[in-house]
Amino acid sequence: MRQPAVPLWQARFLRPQHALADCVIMQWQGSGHADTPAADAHCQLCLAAQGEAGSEYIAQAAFAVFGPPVAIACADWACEWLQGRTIETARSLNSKDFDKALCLAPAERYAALLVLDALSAALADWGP
Amino acid sequence: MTTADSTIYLDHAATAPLSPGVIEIMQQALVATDANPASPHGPGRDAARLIDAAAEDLARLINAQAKDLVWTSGATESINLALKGTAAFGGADTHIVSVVTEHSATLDTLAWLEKHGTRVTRLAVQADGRIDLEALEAALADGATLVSIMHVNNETGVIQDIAAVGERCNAHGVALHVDAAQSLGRLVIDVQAMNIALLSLSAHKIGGPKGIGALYVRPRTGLAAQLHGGGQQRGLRSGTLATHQIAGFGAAAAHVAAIRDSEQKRLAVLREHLADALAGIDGVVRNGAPAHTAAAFLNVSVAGVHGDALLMGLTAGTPALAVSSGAACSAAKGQSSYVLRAMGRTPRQAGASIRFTLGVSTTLAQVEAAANRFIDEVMRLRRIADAA
Repeated sequence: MRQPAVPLWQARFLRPQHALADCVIMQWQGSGHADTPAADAHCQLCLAAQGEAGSEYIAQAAFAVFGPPVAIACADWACEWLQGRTIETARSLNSKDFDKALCLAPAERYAALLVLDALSAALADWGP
Repeated sequence: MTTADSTIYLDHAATAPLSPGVIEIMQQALVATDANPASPHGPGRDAARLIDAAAEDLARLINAQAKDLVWTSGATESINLALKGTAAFGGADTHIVSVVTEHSATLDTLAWLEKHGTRVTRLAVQADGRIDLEALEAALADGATLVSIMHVNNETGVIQDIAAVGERCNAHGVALHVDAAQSLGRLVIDVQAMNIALLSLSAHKIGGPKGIGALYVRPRTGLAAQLHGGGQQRGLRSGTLATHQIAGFGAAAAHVAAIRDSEQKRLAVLREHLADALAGIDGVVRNGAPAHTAAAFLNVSVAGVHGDALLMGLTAGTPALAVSSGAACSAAKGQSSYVLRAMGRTPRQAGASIRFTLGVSTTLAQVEAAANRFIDEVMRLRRIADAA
């Protein structure tokens, strides 16, 4: 399929809503880092929870990314998607969800994997 | 340059806006003087006169004879003709000496020639982007046939000392080919004084139309044609001449000759204004020393931001800056600017580099707006990367 001249995700790169630097939350229940295999991009995802133990949901998610525009856009979209979802639902997020939402070109899919790796690390770090 | 929106155009090394008078003379050539310039009849001679006038204007700009110009489709074809033509003429003993920071038109042509048996030596550059003349001397002593070197680097604007290179080539009896795509109209070019045998030129970099270039060929330079057919242009480049394109090139050459010195002084002031403003951000490194860089060019590497993000942020944000990077590729994949890496920059520095090239349409207000926009974008991206 032909990619649009302006990528669907470009607006998220230009105006991300979930950058860690913009968040006032100081206490995160989970935080994870990931690098691309070539180490030219790095992503950190932070998760804050609400609710009783066993039925917690992600109240806020934020990211920090050093990387190409598509990585910033993927991280921003993931944070938006995660908010309001349970931990179990968060674990089900996969690269096809990114493709569907952001219309990633094949060469851009590594950015989704970077964010998923950071999410996986954040969920592994999860704790009160 | 006129753009559809409020984009600030600082990419004059990619292409320059058409100079005054270019459209008019091209229109004349297309409508009123549309005969074949090789035809012996009146209308043909009228077309030929337009070409002769253009050749005079261009030749004057490089201190050459008009008859020694070969019209081509652009600098890439000129370079191909110069290099492949030299190798075809020289045969198996051809040895071409060039530089690692050349434009891909040269590097790719040399790689092709090398595959077909031509010996190629590529000189390294120093941290300032210039070649070591002693290394050139050694290569010349090693049986060189041709030295091919660009006058002004297309990424950094670094100026090679062509007069010194030409002097050494002349002393060894070696022909010199200069890629002047980025120096025509910016620097003084004197093919006689600089001992240049072959000079590749492009129209659209100086305000002429795209699709037309020229190769200056010094008389008695060994060169074999690469395009065969009707035997036009002394058999060196067959094909009917594009009168309108050539006339446009000539008009641009005449215009740039009239404004070159004053314009380059003006651009040097604007360029330093921009450089001073960007120097206010920590982690900004200038690529190329100002004393050895063409006035239109400012190339900077920025720490703490990803090159692709910076380029898209600048070009797609508001107001948009029409700038370019050495290479919009992943730094760590080793695909960042080979020019900057050759100058000793790290892959990450080479990947996060931006080239600003100023030109006739550039104003102080644009430079100030561009500096502010650049600083804001770097800060925004660093903030997004914060804690990462």
